[in-house]
Amino acid sequence: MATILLVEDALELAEVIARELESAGYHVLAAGDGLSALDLLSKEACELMVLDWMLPRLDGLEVLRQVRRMPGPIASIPVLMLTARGEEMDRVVGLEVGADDYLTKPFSMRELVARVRALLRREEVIRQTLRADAAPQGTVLDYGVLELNPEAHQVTLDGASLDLSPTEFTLLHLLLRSPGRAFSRAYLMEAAWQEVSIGGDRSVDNVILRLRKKLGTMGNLIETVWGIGYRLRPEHGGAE
Amino acid sequence: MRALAILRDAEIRMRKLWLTASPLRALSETLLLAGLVIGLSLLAAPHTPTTAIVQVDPALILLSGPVCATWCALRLRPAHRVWWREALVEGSVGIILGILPFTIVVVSVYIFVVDRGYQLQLPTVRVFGVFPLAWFAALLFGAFSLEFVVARMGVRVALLWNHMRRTQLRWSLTHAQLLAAALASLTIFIPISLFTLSFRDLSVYRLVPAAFVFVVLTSLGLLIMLPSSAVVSMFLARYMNRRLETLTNATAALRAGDYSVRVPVTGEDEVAQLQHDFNTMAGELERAMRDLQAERDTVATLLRSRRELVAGVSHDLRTPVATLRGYLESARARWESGAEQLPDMLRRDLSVMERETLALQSLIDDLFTLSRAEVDRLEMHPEATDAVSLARGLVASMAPLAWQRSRIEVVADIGPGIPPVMVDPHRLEQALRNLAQNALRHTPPGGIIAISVSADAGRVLVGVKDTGEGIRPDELPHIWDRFYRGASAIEKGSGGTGLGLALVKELTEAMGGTVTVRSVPGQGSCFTLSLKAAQAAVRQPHTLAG
Repeated sequence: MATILLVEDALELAEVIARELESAGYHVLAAGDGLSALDLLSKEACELMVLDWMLPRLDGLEVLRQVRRMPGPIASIPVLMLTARGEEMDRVVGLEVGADDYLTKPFSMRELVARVRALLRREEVIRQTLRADAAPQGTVLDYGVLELNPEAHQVTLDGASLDLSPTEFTLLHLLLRSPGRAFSRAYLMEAAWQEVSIGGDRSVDNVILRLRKKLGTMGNLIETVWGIGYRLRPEHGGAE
Repeated sequence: MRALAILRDAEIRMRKLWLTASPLRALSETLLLAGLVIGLSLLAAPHTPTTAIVQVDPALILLSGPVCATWCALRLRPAHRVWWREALVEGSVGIILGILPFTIVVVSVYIFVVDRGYQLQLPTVRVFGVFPLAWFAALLFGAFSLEFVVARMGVRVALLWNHMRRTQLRWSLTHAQLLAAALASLTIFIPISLFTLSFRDLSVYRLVPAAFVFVVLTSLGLLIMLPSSAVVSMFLARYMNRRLETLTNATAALRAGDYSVRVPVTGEDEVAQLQHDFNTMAGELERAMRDLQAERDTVATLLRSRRELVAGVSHDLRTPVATLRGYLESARARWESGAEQLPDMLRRDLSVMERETLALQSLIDDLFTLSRAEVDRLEMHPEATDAVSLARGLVASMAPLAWQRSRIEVVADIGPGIPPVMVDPHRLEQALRNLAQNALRHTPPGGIIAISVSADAGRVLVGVKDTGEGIRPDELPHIWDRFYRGASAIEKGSGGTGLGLALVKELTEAMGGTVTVRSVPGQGSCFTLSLKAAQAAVRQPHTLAG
């Protein structure tokens, strides 16, 4: 079960929140001030942080700022902020980056647990999508006259087999899996070469160019998105 | 009363008489007058047929010159043209004035002398028995043309003087004193002239030149008298004027908000009274102003401390109530799940406590709303802001986290020639951050979020577009409502509270902009803020009730 870091200086409140979260099945770590929260975060693996705004030693906002600057995946930990003043809400939602959700005191325990669950589920959805994009899939995909068979590593256009390089195949597979979904160049780069994109690198563009040429009349199905990404036109339309 | 009305009408007519005629009309009138005078004098003059000499007193004719020229000078209206065109018109009038009377004389001579059958050669004609015709022409020319020019210059000087005394008190006072001096001089000169004249036995023909001489003498006397008295008047007027000027300056300073200004009281006359009253008035104004300011400061301090108290109380009450509520909820959950057995009495007590806690919370909410209404006014400080660097900064700060967490690329898309915009930079950044956060929440991994800036006819469009799931058409009208969350947001639990977009709309409209949205489900949404370009826009602090 997920580990949650709870940062709240009011001991009684911290205790009841911890109790509720634990009874919902989460593992809870508690910190009473900003500095010990940062300390705990660097030592323990946490999946979510519930963070009070008003904290001794280091206030919640500053904690959040420092967390977002931390190296490694911990910087992107989802954060639920607790605030007591309404006008702070606007700052959390708006000016200050990084709080994924917030609650105004006093709040219902049920709502707190629901929001924690929602945040974790959202993270899970993102992780699953990323995993699904990366993992090879066996199902045969067809898109009009175009057919892609991952098992056989084969693509046929109108029954005729296409000769694609592995990179071209990977990109086409990714695009075909979710028609309509846009993929940025950097993302495709990472998917095709498992490499971090370097700005100005045109290799993805070149692959797409070749892919379009090989697809012939179907080539225009790969649309450019704002000059920095690509997607497969969502609706089937071989005739177009 | 009637007599007065007639007098007033006469005065208006008189005023309309002077300096109103067009050049052509003035000339015709003058020539008619000259023709009348010269013709009559020629007609009336005795002449002997044999010598063909017209015997008229030359003085009579020559005197008619100044009279006619003065008439013309007084009638001709001054046109406000360029100076050289003005000079050209008036010079031509003067020359015509000199030539035409001469023609009249020659024609008259022909009519009255030649036509009666006398053999006559024009060059030999002696006008008035003395002057050859050419001389006479020169004389007439001088009498009409030069006199006209002199009179016209006099008119100009008089107009200038009039203008000066109308606009400056100093000249008005000098004028009044000069007028008095001139009247005094005239009352001395005229009786003396009349007295001197009465000793001579004068025919009508002699009287006219004599009068002319005396007029000239009187004018000369005035010319000598007036400058000296003008100098004296000037000094007197300057003293008077300086006192008034001090007052004028002080009044201007008072109007501009300097309530400490005072003027020295000089003398005991009406001006001194005015100075004294001014000082008293300024003193009272200053005191009233100071009292008002003190009052305002007190009220502001009171209001501020009250606001702080309310905000503080509503803040400090929240944590204990949250704690209380948490424990009660958790206790009830345990007994409801059957984990713990509680006596009925205690169970009822707990219910009462929970109900009262909720009541307490709604009271705190009210208190909070009150304090928020007063404290949380969004202060706007619009200034010329570079939207491009703001957008780039936002992208730079959001891109790493967005990539790291959900593999979403955040990019800037900047058009050419973006003018600065008139906004509060912090508020604009807040609005854009909200939109970008919103886009992040609704875009799947691999997607793109672009913050675009483009210029469009005096406005700057700042947009946040994403390749996310888009908004359903039936949901579009509701997205700006506070606490509204899209069906998919609730379904997927994608975080968010339904406040972000409402805040964006409030902020944008407070900055005088508009926000619009286009969205295609499955392809993405594009939020666009249309903002005023900063072009000599008025800088005023705006406030917005939050």
